[in-house]
Amino acid sequence: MAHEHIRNFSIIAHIDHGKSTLADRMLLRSGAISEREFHEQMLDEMDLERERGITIKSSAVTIEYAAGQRNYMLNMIDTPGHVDFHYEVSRALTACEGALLVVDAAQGVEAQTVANAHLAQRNGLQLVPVVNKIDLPSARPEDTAMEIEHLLSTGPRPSRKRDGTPWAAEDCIFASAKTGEGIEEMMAAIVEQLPPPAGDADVETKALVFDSTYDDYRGVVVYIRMFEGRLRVGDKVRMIGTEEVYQVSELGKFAPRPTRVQAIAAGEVGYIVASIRSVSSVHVGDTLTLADRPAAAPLAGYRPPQQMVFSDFYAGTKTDFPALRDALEKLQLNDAALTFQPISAEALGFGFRCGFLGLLHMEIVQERLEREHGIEVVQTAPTVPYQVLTVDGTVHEVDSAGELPDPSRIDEIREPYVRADLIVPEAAVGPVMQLAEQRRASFQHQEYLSAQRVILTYEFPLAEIVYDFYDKLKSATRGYGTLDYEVVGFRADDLVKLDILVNNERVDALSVICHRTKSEPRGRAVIRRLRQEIDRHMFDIPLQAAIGSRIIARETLKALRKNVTAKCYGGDVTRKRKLLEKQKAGKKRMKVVGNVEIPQKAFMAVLEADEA
Amino acid sequence: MPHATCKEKWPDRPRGPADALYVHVPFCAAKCGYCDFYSLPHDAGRARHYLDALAAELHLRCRRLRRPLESIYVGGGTPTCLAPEALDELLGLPGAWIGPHTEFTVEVNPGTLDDATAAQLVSAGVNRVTVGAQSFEQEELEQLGRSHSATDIARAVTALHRAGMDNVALDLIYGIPRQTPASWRRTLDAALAIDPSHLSVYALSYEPQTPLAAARDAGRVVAMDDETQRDCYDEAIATATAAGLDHYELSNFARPNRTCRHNLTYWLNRPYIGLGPAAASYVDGVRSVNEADLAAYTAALTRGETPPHASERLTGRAAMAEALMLGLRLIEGVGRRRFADRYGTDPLDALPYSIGRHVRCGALALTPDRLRVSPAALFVCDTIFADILAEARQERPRP
Repeated sequence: MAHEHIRNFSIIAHIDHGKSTLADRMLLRSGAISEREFHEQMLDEMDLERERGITIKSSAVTIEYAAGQRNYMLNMIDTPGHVDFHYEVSRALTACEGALLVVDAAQGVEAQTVANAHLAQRNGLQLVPVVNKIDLPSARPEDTAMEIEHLLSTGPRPSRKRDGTPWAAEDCIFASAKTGEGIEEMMAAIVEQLPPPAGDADVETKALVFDSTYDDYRGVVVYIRMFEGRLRVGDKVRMIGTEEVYQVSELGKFAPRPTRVQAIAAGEVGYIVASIRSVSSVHVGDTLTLADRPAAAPLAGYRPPQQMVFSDFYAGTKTDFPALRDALEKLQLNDAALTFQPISAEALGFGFRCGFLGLLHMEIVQERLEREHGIEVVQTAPTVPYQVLTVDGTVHEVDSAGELPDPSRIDEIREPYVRADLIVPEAAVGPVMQLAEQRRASFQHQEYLSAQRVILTYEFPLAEIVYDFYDKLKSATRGYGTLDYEVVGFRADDLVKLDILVNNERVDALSVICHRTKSEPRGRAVIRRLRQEIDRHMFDIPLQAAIGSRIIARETLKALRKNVTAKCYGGDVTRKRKLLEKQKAGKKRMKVVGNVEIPQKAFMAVLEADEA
Repeated sequence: MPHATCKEKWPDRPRGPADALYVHVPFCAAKCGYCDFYSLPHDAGRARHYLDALAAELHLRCRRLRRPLESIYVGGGTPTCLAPEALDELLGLPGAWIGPHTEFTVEVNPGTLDDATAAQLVSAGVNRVTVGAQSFEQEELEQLGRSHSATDIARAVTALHRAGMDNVALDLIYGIPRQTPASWRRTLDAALAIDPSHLSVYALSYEPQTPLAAARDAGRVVAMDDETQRDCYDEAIATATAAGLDHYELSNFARPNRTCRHNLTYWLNRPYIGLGPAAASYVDGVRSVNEADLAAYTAALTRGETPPHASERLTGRAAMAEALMLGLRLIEGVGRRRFADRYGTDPLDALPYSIGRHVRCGALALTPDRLRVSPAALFVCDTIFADILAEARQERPRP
């Protein structure tokens, strides 16, 4: 098919703005699926995302569309709908020439709408604005259209229609995925407003990897967008980033079910199967070329997945360590962004330090472990990665306080910063600004999206928002505030290692990296929790928080004064023994530090200690 | 020689027949508010059935009794609330197992002991009497629901002395609601003025389902705080040892050669047989406890059957931990050599983590010969025992 008849596009939207239902509606309209096959969010393959109402794994589908005398092939590339998958979204957008910008008529423009719109603009994508859910009683389609007009006229590269004029509120398509209203106009707009792909089928092959899934029988299925050249079954292909070579055993397109073809050419979207054993050898954003006629340079923008949140997973009481390892290995087959490495904290037994793209990614992994593998995990509070510049001038990646080099060798510690857009009701600006200040944020700018809604842009240390910031934002805005962020780099700050000493011995598993100004309240909170969780011993136990050799907080857990069965139960030794055994019941996992038994629960409680 | 009173003078023979016999008399004139031992109101008809059953149980189990016994102990309940003929019959039952050195103890309640009963005990061969004095303060005795008065104690002891009984032991309780360190000191002084051969001081424990525990839970009485209890305990040690009694077990003090042989069988983990409902036995490595139900007890024995009971046999590290739980109550502690002879391993090798940790923090003292609880840790020794028992229950970590 000629390029002019192809459109490659994405749908970008905030969570729950109806992206998936809209996609289903288009499939139904084009006859790509039958009524019988039409079920809600059919593009989402996992139960989990259906329940959460969000898209976790992106996928692709091809829709045939007839306009007048011409047949079009519309390749829809679905994008993950969450900030954690920012990079994946950007790669999916790179695979497209345009996008539908979908906004819920009742909710208006929200943080991810802005973030995704800006991302699309930066990628040079043409946009088609759609106001969805106009059937809702609370819908404010005109207000929403005004917000969209404002959004599209600003940003990194203001959007224009294909004829070069700016988007106005009245150009927005008013639609309801639920009733089908506006779908016709929307599909017409895709053909009219979005450009066909460029690219030459006769030059060296370049294909962008924008996703992959794992299939038990065929191995990894790699989703690609062909930019240049062509691919045929039997070709030897090379991943430019990983330098691995595979032979293509199957090629296919999506119509909407995967359908085998013999060749794919520039401009098209499809998949390849090539006996690839693990998704970790396929990196989203990598460029695929022919091994015997390689492209000179890869497509721009590739980077390996970067884990920004770390948490230690330990097997819960009903799970053992090998079962946890097996389950993580299986998940990793399908989730290249998940990393894990074995660790052993004596207190907690054997576990894994897991790396995630973000908090949601972490929650998804935890839920999938539970649902798909029946694995119960005990997890520590999430932390972020740090960079440490040592005096010899080298930079080390550190994802736990225990990995910090000796203080005398540290020149500076850098932490990840994010640029965050907070969209909040005008009335909540004060409380939100106060919240941001508590989190070491630096204010960037403020912009009125409409009279009632404001975009606040801040730069935050990621560590300050990774744990409970979102909950706090929600409560400061009565649930209306939304947040999107993007990592902007690592910056040095006055970061210190906060040590916790129990009975004068340092407990490595309790050490954390934190900002000096936060170290004292945090240290106090930790030792207060420890005092509650550790049982009294036969001696006084000093509990201390320290930075280096300086004690910044201290409490004493007083010695146990009485624990004795004075009488001897008339020779009923069994009864006495059972009473004593009860004292230790349910306290199996203990770590002994400095002759003090610290229960596992204390470690968990401490890591969750809220300095507020 | 502070710790020489109960040198393990007997050969250790855990597999042999029982060295000690306990007889539980499940009757009382009135039940004390704190007591959770099995007892029923006294009734002559019930006592008749009980004595017949007791004789039948002795007959069933006598093959596992050593002859003569080291110790016979009649407790309860209140043995002396039995009618004189019934008491005679009871005390005559183990006659065939009494030798010249057998310690024959009966527990008495000061309220139910007169000259006649004292004489009856002595003529039945009883050579040790333990008097449940508990306190010499009238208000405290009432708090405990004891039926006797402070003056009854002196009267009972005088009656015993008059009858020729020279081995009189006293039991005291501290931690009584509204007791104070001063009133406890008065009780200690009054007790020592009687010059007992043996003194037991027990902390009041609030056993579940007792009226006392209910009163505490309802806020009607206030339990003594741990700090004051500890002061009372320390005071008892200071006062009793100053009076020349040897502190030989956690809660027990004795004149030379007047240690309680019966309780030593428990602490040294030697075999004993208990007769009567709710009585505990330890023979051939099996611990068993008769059901606390007089009717079921008599019914079974009337049919010639063993009374209903629960039993268990501990082996390996569990048995060793239990032996330590008992033996470490002795102030002299556990002899490592003796322990190794019996269990095939040194205690420190068998349970290295719990013992090692408590040795390091000073709660246990380890010498080449012995392992014992340090004086400062006696009042928190259950923490040590709980740790040792917990380690015994865990799988041994791989080296």
